[in-house]
This record gives sequence, C-alpha cells and structure tokens, in this order.
Amino acid sequence: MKKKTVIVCCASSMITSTIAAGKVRDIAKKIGAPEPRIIQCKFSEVQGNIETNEVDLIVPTGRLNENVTGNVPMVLGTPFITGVNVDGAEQKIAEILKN
Amino acid sequence: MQYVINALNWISQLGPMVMMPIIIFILGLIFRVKFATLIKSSLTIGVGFAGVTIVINWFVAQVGPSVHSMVSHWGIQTSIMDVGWPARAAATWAFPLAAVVVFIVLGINALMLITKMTNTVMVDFWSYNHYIFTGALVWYLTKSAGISLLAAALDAAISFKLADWTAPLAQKYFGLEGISFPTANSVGWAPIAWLLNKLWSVIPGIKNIDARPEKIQKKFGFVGEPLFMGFVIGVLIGILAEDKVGNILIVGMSTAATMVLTPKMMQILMEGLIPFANSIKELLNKKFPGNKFTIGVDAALTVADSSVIACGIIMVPITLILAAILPGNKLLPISDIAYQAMWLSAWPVAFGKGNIFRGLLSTFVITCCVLLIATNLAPIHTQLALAGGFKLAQGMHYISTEDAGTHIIGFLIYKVIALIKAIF
Repeated sequence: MKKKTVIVCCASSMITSTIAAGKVRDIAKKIGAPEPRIIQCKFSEVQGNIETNEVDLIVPTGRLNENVTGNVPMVLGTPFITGVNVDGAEQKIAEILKN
Repeated sequence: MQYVINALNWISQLGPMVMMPIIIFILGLIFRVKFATLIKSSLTIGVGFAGVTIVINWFVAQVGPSVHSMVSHWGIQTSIMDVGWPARAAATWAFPLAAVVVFIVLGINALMLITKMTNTVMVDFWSYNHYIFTGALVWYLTKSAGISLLAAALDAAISFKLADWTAPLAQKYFGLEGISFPTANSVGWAPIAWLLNKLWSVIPGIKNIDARPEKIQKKFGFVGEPLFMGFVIGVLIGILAEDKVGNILIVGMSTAATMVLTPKMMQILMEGLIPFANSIKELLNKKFPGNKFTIGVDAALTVADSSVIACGIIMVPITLILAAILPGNKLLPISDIAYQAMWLSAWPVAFGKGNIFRGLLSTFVITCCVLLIATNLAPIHTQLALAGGFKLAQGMHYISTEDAGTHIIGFLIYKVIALIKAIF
C-alpha cells in the first residue's frame, strides 16, 4: 500500500472538513494503510488543488459537481457530519486507501 | 447563577487562550468526555485561539495603516476594516456567558423536541456561536445577563423553526437526506430569499429569464481562491493608499497570508472542539432513540452546490463595488469576501431552483442589508473584539466583519430590545 493523497473539503475549510479529515485518518489507521497526505481546503479551492497535486480521492462534506472533480474518485463525507450511513462511506474510503 | 457569572468574569479576564481550555474542561467533565481526550482537547482549543488572535492582530498591524491612509487620501467611505469571521467567532466564544448559552440552547432544543415544536436536533456544536453572538450584542446593550440569555434563547428557537420550514427545500435542492440547517446567520435569510423569489416571479421581463451558466467556475474559479483574492485585494489597497512599491507588495502578501493562515488556525481550534460535538451527539441519541428528527448541521454544506459557487463568484466584485457606493455603508469587506458571497447565495439560489439570475438579484438585495447591519454593529463588535484580546491599529476607531452583518435574526432582536430600552 502506498501513501495516498486525499482532498477533504467543505465551504470554509475549517469546520466540517476537520471532522471528515479526522475520520479519514482513523480509517487508514484501522485498515493498516499509511497515513494519507490530507489537503484540507475550501470547495472553491478543489479545482486548483487537483491541478497541482496527484490526488487519489476527494471527500467533500457537501455535494460537489463532477465538472469540478474531473476523473478523481469522490466519496461524499456528509455521513460523518450527520451520523447517517457512516459505514457505507467508511467502506468506500477504505477500498480506495487499500489499492 | 450570580456565583457562576462572577467566576466566569474572573476567568474571562485571563483572555480566551487561558479561559477557553478551562471552560471546555469543565464542560467536558459534565458531558463525560474521556479524560485523556479532554486534556488534549482543552489545550488544543487554547492553542487555536492563540493562533487566530496572533494572525488577526498581525493582519491589522500590517494592513491597517494602509487602509487608514487609503480612506483619508480618497475620502472613501469604507473606514471600518473587516477582520474576518474567525475573529468574530473567536471573540464570541470568549464572551463570558458563552458556556451558559450552550446549556440554555441545549435545554430549549430538548424542550421543543419533547413538545413536538421542532424536528431539528441541533448537534452542530460550533454553530452555537451564532446564538452566543446575539446574547453578546444584547449584553453590551443592556449589561443584563438575564435579558442577554433570553435573546440568545429566542434566536435559537427562531432558527429551529426556520430549519424545520426549510428542511424540505434543503433535501430537494441540495440532495441532503434527513438534514436541516439551524445555522442562524444562514437560515435567517431564507424567508427574505423566499419573498424575493416570489417577487421575481411576478415581475414581467424578469420572471422568464433563466440562467444556468456551467462555465463560470471553470473560467473564474480563481476568485474563490483566498490565496489569489487576498493578494489582489491587498495590492489594490496598497495602490489606493499610494504606498511605495515595496509596501504595496507587503500589504498584498500580508492579506494573502491572513486569508490562508486564519483557516489553518481555525482548523486547530476545531480539532479540539470536535470531541464535544460527538459527546453531545451521543447524549442526544441516547435520550431520543429511534426518532424522526432531522439532524441540524452547519449551513456551510450548502456552499458545495455549483450554482451557489457560481453565484458567489459573480457576487465578489459586485460586493466590492457595493461597499464603495452603497449609502450608509462604512465597512470595507476584505477577508471573507468570497466566502460570505457564497454563503449568502445559498438560499436565493435554492429558492430559485438553481437559476443563477434570480439568485443574483436576491443575493444583491441581501448583501446590501448585510453591509448596513455590519456598519451598524461596528461599535459593539469592536467592544466584543477588544474584550476577546484583539488590538486596534493606530488611527482605527472601529473594526467589524461582514459576517456580523449576516446575523439578521440577532440584529432584529437587538433592535427590538434597544427600542424597548429607549421607551422605559
């Protein structure tokens, strides 16, 4: 397993993305993957960050449009904020961190 | 109660860096947060507060003098510097009654859930700061703890009702299941956005225009990047202040640095706060199992929508021009300009079903209100910031934030109480 780069984003880059970033680190620890490099940013900064980094996964806490995320896989991080369907999101993220 | 307030007053003199860890530690004991986590959280929150204060004070010292000379050179009306919402939020959490408000709002929420007056479970601990802000405004007006707490409670109750009312729209338009947005300074604008949207749908010539430009974010995405906008706005201030070239670059870099660094400091603060949100969530889930409730979360989730981002991007230059020409406005929006533009666009765009043209019209009207409210609240805002450990640069009389102007419900409550106070 190689070290992955994950963009975790929300509107302000401060509040909900901090919660989701913590979850992504926990998931990596749980499955024994190396701790991913996390880029925590605003929704509006995602495009620029994809252009300047090799990104493996995007975890937005709100619905991001596909014309922004390009070909990078995206797993919605909203469950980490609401507590609804957390397991599903955890599994999808674990899959990507494992490969 | 008086004993508690006296104790809080003593602690608050130590400044938020020391006070917040103590308050969080006590709250953590009550909510039974694990001890090791609690120690780490409390200290982390203190460090986060120190970080925000350091950055904002440095920003005011670096850029304040240029803003001041820009205003005096050109006779520009925007003499009040916007220090950014993290500064407003940090000063709000440092308000002595903050912890008391948290408990009262939790109580109000539980009471409304039990009596079926609301379906919203407010688990978004961070956004309690908006109710506290209302309490703080009223406290500086009346110096009465009781009235201030009542105002904060009323703000929360109104926000819960509005969250219930907008929940169907939030689910339909933003595609978020089982969620509502009791964030006072976002949902407070929903009724106004609804009304404006009704108005646009009857005006001939406006009612048939439907704009959904997909390319705006692709082409003008850089406007939403604080790194870029910070530098551009900073350089503009430097040029208008007729600074030397070197200083223009320093002001540009300082503004860019502030816009990038403030969120980083806030992230540290949040890492400390999260265990509490989780503990409170668990407590509520235990008390109300198997409920039909909607989970109240931060309205920041609304800003992911691409029409909202596009509307916000167009609103950035419009906001700057508005600030310069709107009669009665004295606020110079700097640090939050892109974020607030998107934040305010959320409900107008949602009610307009993604039609950016209508979204823009409504957001334009709302932004005018926000600037005037922010100007009006500047004196009280400055008191709150000074109490929270921020410093004014030479020649500055007031600071404010565009963010303060978004607290429409709190502002109305504050005005009503001011009116009552004037009569008696």
